Amino acid sequence: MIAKQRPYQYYDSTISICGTCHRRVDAKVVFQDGCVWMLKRCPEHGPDRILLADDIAYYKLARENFTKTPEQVLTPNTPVRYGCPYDCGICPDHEQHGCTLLIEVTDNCNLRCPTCYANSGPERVQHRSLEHIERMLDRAVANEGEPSIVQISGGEPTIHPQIIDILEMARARPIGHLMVNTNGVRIANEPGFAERLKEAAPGLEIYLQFDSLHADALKTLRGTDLRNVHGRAIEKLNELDIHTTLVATVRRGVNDHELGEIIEYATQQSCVRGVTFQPVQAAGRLEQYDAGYDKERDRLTLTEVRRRILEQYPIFAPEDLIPVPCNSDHLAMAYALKLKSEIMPLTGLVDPDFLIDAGRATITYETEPEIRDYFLQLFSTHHSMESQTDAMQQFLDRLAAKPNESLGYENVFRVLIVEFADAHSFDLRSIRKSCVHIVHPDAERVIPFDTYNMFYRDELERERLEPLRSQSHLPMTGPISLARYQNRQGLRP
Amino acid sequence: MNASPQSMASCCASLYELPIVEQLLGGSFHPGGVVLTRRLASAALISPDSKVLDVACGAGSSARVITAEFGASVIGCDFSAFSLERAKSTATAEASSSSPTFVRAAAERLPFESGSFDVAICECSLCLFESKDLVLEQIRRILRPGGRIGISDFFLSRPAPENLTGLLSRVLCVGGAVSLADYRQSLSEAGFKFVRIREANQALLEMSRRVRHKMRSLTATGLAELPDAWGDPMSVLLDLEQFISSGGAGYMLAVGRRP
Repeated sequence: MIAKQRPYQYYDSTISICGTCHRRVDAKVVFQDGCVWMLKRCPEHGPDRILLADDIAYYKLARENFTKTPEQVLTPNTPVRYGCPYDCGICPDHEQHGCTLLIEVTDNCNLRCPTCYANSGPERVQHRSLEHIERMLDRAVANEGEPSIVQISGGEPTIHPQIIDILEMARARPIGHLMVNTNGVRIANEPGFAERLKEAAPGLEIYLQFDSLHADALKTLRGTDLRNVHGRAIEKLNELDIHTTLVATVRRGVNDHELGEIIEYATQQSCVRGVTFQPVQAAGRLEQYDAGYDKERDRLTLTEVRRRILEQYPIFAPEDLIPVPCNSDHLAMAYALKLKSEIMPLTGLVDPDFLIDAGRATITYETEPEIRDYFLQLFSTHHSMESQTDAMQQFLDRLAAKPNESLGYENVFRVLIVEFADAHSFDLRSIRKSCVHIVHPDAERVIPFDTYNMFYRDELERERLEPLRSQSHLPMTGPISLARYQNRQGLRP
Repeated sequence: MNASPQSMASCCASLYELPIVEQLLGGSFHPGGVVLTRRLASAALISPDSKVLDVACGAGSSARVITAEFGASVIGCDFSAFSLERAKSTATAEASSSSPTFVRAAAERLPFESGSFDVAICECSLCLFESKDLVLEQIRRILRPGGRIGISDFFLSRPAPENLTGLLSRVLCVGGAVSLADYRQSLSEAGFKFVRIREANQALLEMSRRVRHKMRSLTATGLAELPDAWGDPMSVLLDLEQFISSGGAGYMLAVGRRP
């Protein structure tokens, strides 16, 4: 007799949340038809199935091989009381410090994009005061000591009337790398503004919203054709040589066919250090969808974005675009060397163990001197011939033609995929490693980007989270991770 | 067309049909087995949306892995009626929701429309064909623009010592095995771009060690006898391992893209 078989391979169980009511629900992770699915059931809204990845081998590689010892914030800010994800702030059970901290200095925006996780727009007139922002910056420093990356964000931070003062305040603090998250409109339109930014914060990086090179995609995602804005902003940033990362929100069927084209464009701009691709997170404002956002039709996962990049920009091979160990489920990265406008992938040449072991858990290795030195050393000398691979050989052949080239940050080119979890894809195991954090406007808490947009932004905490907390059947008496489990002896009473 | 399909692999096709060989090699006849198949599939960007041709699929173990684990629709083709019979009967026995399709065809004359596949793989077989160039040209034809070819095969970095030539030509079919540079050149002459070659020599070493250990236990327990004609295969395998370890030969995965 043949036993009845599941149509899938069972892989794991986890906790998710219901995509409708956001309560904690049991979930399974299974493999079927080459894809990774999450199966879950809400007592009220029934069973559900979510695509987590369409590449089982990559999913397993990221989860099982690209892990590292978690790094912690200096002191957690909130107690464990209701269970994850109802205690964010950072709670003592979070398993990663903040690699990148966002400080939202305003809710106001000079665009009203159909896609906006923050629900920003011209109708929201609230700018935070300097004193308020100062407290938020201090919270970032208190949590991280020396935050690796702080992004001044919003809303549109460049239209804050005191943006220059804000940058100076940030510069006065021990922040590794300072970025401004902007749509580029003010940089493009106001002569002298980019100069003021550069003067206020030398070394500043512009994190420039740049979804598409085409009018129709820009209209769908941003409500307006921003090509001229992009063109003028990039021209300015090139002229002043201000470090710039292009950030593309990727939506299925809208701009996911032009990822290679965006990378190609980026490599031609002297100011651009890389491109970050973010598939749309189902949070905040999601307009311009036929009959509303449909998770079956519209979701796009990290592995799909990764494959599109590899298909559309074949200079990168799969081993060049690898999981980032601090939060390997949701971050993938390719490093390349940018010589003039030529791109040489590097990540595939580096032993993954090195990426896992060395440096702090942060998503931009080049800000860590040790790793930066390793890259620059590896690729400016010939001593690594012994670890020669076919790719290395080609690389060195080319480098030999430019023996006196000295390499710096302007030669680093980075492609990053950042997939934020939403209520659909929420996996508690993974959410605990979330490492892009938002400083709450209360300046008391720092909250993972993913859960912030699910539970903590604006009125969500009161309207969505409070009722769930009051129904929680998981009153917690304290964190799972205790200091007394530091060693084996600590396990004994 | 100068190579008749019948002439291809005459050196070893019958060898691979011997039961003892299957006992020694297990279900997957190429070095690295399923693990390298997965690596090749990932390197060639096989996804659930891909239509894949497995050229010289043998008994179909790779085609089944790619169907089951990558969710792709796979057609396996092979010229050996014997292998295809095995492939088809295994697929029926497993009766999973989706199975590969198997077709009898010569690699030099692929009976498929031009541009009809996203990916073609050819594992440990290219060096069996008398005209590699003809096979590569056929594969290029059936791939769509942007489609990928994935090859795994032996390579030689220097001429093999005399005691290994018998093994290499009659068993591993690499009498005319070529260097990495030759593979690169063949692929680019066939019109493939963005060719990337990865070495997987460890897989070859492990395969040789595993076969050697199996030979030892099979003969020691009397469960099977090695054909007399094989001479002293265990010492030949040891020599082979030394040759590989010293960089004389290896196994590689190559991926290229049809422009």
